[in-house]
Amino acid sequence: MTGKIRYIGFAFLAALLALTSCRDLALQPVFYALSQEVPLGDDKGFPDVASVFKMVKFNDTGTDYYLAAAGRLYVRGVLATDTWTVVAPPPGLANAMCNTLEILGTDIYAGFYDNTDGSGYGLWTSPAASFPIWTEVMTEPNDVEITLLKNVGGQLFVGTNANDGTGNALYYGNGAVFTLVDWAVDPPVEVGFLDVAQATIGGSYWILVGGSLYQNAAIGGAFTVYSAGAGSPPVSPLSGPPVSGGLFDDGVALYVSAGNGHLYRTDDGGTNWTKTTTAIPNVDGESTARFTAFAAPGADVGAIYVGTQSQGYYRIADGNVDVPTDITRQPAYNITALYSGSLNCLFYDAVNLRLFLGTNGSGLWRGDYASGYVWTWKQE
Amino acid sequence: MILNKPCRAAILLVLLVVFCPALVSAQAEEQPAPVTVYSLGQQSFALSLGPFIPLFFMDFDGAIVDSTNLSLGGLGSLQWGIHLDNHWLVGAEVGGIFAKSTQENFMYMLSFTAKASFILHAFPFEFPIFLGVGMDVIKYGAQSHLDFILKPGFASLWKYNVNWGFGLNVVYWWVPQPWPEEPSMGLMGNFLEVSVTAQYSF
Repeated sequence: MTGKIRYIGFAFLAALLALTSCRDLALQPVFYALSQEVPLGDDKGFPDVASVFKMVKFNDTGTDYYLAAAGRLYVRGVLATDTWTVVAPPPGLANAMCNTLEILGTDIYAGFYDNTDGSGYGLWTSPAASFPIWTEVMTEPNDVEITLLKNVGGQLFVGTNANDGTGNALYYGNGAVFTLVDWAVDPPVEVGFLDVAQATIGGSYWILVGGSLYQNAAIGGAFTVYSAGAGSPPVSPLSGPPVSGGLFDDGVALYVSAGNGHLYRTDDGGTNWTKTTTAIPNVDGESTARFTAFAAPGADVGAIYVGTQSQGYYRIADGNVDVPTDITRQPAYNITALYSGSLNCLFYDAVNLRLFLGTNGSGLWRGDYASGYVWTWKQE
Repeated sequence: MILNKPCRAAILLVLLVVFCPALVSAQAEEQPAPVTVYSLGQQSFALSLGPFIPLFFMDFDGAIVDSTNLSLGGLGSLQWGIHLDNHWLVGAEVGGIFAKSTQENFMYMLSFTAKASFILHAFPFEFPIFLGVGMDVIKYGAQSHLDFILKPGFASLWKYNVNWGFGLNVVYWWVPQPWPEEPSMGLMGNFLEVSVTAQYSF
């Protein structure tokens, strides 16, 4: 009997330890977090369960607008009272949806696809307006799905995935004429293009293809898998499936995020690198965090933010990826949909001090800057 | 300090619990009646259910943080005890609560307490005054804590027969949550349990 009681006692203690082992020092304590809570609802008409893939801001005859690709395209003015409305896709496209967009000059570019079978409708453009009038830009290869649109130094990079078996390809161009990116050795066609960036320092171009990082000094030359750099350079592969990662240049340094739980930084165009001292763990049971897109919300001076798949976003104070205490998981005040959320994109509106987080399945969140690293989050 | 609705409701309930049985027992005193007697080794189980009222948070300097941002919640608890004599009962209690926050997340608390009660008799009523001390597991969103908990309270029980008693519990939950990493974030949780209870003694 005594043995049984002791056994029960040990089991009880073990259960208690298990229950409390989840204490997360990155989060505020529960009572404090509760005392600081504000209602999340500030309904701007954006679907709460939508996946948001890309967001931009543009000006139409003196008025600023946000445009978000979330399956449907949504637009709203920047005023606090403005609400989201659906943008009509190009006429004649059945079941047309949009998963990426970009601004180049004064034009909007967007990729549409058929929601019923995933086949692509190609690349379309319109003068930046709250009621776009679409014109098709890219028709070759046929039935192309646009997987990436990125304005890098005035060049529009277009990632495509064709349904005709030719797989993924990457183009760049001025918005009217596009050229295939050249590769020393072609990346596998089944691997998608994640991101493109140009380093301000040195001007080299960087392309993340699946888990591999490619680089070339100029846009027109042949890109090769990057395998140079002193210090702690990114070594491909940077991500196992499901791949994730992103590139970002804030004018001071180039950042690389990866699915291996690491962040990399170079402030001399790729000669020397720093990286996270140890991989950021994935708290959901997988080995490492899978980082996604970046943003530099200038209101939080010097800080770089990077999204993840399934554990919100991280703040990197002063961009110090190699200082563990400078990398903190956010938001610390326990908004479950964000703290444990998957973030596809981050967008910062420097004029209105708003940081938008495009989630995977939890809609669009707006952070109004409060102070320090604190944002007041509302679900749009 | 202006009391919010849950506070006012809590005070009203406490007054009802305190005074109503006392009035009835005053009438009962006029009749000769047997007295329930407990002896060493007798045991009891009690099941309680009821609302859980978030009152306020207080920092460790004594300043009250007005709002808990929690709604009226629910509670359930199970208690086992063993009598030492006619007045003293010692035992253990497991209690769980839930309450919804402003951001529509649920906060859960699971308390494990050792409990000592002193029972005042006024047949057919009993008025246990008790104190529980133990641990409280708190879960809110992605965060979990293990905190100390103190649960002083009293109950008013009507003895239906030798075995069964029914009544009301009023229990104060005091849960200090210090945070050494950032002391200004440390707060003490103050909550009120008002629950109906069924007790079986054997």
